[in-house]
Amino acid sequence: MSWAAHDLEPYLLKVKFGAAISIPFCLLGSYSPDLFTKWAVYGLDFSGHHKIVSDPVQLHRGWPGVGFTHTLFFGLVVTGIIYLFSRSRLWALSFLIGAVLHVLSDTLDSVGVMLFFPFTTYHVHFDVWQYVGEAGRRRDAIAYYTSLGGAWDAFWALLLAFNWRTLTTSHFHRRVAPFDPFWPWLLKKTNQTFCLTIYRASAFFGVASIIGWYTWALFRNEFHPHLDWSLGGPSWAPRQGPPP
Amino acid sequence: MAEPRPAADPGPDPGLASQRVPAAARSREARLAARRRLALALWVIAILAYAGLGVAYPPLFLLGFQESIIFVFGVTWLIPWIVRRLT
Repeated sequence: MSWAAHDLEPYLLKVKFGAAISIPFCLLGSYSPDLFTKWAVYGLDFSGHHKIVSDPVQLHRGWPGVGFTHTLFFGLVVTGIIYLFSRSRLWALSFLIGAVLHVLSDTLDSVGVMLFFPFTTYHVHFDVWQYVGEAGRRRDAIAYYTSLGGAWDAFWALLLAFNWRTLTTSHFHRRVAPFDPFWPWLLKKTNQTFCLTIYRASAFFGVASIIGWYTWALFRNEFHPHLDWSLGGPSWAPRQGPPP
Repeated sequence: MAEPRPAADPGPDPGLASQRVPAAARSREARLAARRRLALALWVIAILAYAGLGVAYPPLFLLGFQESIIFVFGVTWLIPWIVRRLT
């Protein structure tokens, strides 16, 4: 699974495609596959000692389970529902792009996703890093940020750093708000500070959490506090998912 | 003999005239650039501060973007105020 990459990808898409992307709906699409299941994968606490389900991997990515949320099919269905209710191609398409990006990002770990569900439940997986969600948030954070998963997050953070102007107030007023009816609607109900907060929060959190998790995993945590950028790493993590 | 024609009056030095007006614009531009730099520096400090909070206590700050919303709201409100005060 990816961590902060899901928070950052929509902003880079916005940089690339401009008015064709609605940030709130693209973010919603990007969060949607994990929205109702990630907490159950990790259990009730940070340590991972209070499990909720016996097989978190099956629940999160499998079928039976709610692995259908990590499929192109799920993205298409929700996109159809959004279009049906809003009649907004911008919102529907932005949601779809966010959801598809999430699903494609998650093919990079060892469990992968049922990309072509419901036609097949085969997990497309590229084994770039190990899926460690079943071991709880703490272990997963260590595994992810010491493996190539963390490098994947850092790649998106660097791209956003090069495009930091996309987060400025003037950019928001000139290039974002006029092209998405969501913002005038929200501005009418709230104020500029609130709108800018909603616009920036995910990017802010994404970058800050990458710095925070890297620092924590390498300097505060004592369980394997070193980088392991081998393909399919970290090597200490037990193998999860279908055979490579 | 025809009287020599006076040399055409060149008028005010075009260089000087064009420098006077942009001087004001330049100073305004410099002030805006200073504001942008200060705002950027403050945002970087805010990101590092939040990351520091996360390192100190990950479950409270680093699990999801919803945890950062109040912090981002505060920073979004505070930074323009600080920038206006300092520049």
